[in-house]
Amino acid sequence: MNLGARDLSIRNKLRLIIMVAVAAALTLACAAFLVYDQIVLKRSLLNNTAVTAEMIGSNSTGALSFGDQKAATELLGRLRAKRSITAAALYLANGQAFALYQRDGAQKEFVAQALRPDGAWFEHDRLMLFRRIVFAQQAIGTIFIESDLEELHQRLKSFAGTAALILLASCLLAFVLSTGLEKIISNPIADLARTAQLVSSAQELHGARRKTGRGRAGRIGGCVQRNVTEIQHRDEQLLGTSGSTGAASGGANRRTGSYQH
Amino acid sequence: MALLGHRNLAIRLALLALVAIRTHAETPVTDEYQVKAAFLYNFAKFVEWPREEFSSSMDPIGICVVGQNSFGRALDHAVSGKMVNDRGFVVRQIADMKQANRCQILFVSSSERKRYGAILGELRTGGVLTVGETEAFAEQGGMVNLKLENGKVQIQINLNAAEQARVRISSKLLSLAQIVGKTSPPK
Repeated sequence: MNLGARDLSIRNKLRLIIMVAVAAALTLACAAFLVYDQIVLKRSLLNNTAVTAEMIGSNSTGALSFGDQKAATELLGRLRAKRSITAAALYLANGQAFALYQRDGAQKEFVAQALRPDGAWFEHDRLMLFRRIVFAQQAIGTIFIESDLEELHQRLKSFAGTAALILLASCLLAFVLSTGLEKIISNPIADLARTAQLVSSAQELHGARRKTGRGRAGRIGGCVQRNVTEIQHRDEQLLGTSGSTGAASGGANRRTGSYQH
Repeated sequence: MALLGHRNLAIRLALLALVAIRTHAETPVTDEYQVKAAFLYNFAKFVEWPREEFSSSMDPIGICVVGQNSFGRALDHAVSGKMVNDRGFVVRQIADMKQANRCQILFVSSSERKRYGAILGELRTGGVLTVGETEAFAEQGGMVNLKLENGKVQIQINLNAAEQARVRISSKLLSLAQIVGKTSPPK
């Protein structure tokens, strides 16, 4: 893979870098939003369920106080309007299950759970909530509500789809923009490469390709390397023929040094 | 001698059976009044009386019984140690309606059915929640009737009578009750 990328032209390398950067940044941003959204949605589901429990609990005080099971069952039946609520129960103050509700079409028959203290938690892809019902400063019963997380799942799917579309669109836009903008960098390099090619011989150019790849950058690197070698070779010749011409040799060395940097 | 012995045994068995039947017959009555006692206590949570009915904010809620008291100790047990809106409870047995001015809830026993007119007439505007236990009670101007139906205590409410007596009954209680008598539109 690295070899493949190294052999790409500068133009394609630039495009690849931009696309990868855009995709990585967007993926991270989408993942962060997704996690945040799920946390907020869970909190919202928890609050909504707690409010529903409060409302039903408050309205059930009469039924619980006077032991009216029919009225309590009817009251729980109003939860039909909230599709996410799969089951609910009203308990008397002594912990005895008093009225039950189960969403239509449930596969398993709902059995009232053992009474627990006030609280809410996520378990087996469900939200469970117990809330005490207090009336006239006295605990007269408890309400239990079980809700599914279908809304969360739906939102997750919808968000993932939207994120994928945004990612795709962004990558396409990045590709189009980079095609136009990469010329700012790649054109001067291309000019440099052409100049370097003119300086070097066609034969040497052909031999030096293996180390730096076949791309435009590889060609430039090869040319520069060969130019330096050529200059060094000439400097050595000069040093060998006239030892007294130090100024010329020093000048060549400085030139070589500047190339090597 | 043997005949006498057999007769004695028969009488004893008959007496035993009678006691057994009487005990059996009394059991549901006890249950019924336990439930009614709990209802009387719960009414206090769902009813608002005019402020002037209490001389202070700490005044207890008086539950009075007029006529034959079939509650035994059930009513005392039902309200013992209980508080509603920071008020405790006092249970009283009254014989005279002049004593009813210290009552917030008055249970009129079925033994008083012939005196309904007189009793309810005296309390018509008195801020006392009247509770009866016979079919005619609410129709004759009583506010709440505890009717036994299929072994369950059902609530009938005469809203008009409650309004006249300035007693406000919560909609939560009304939603469980059968409304009797004419009702006036809310003001």
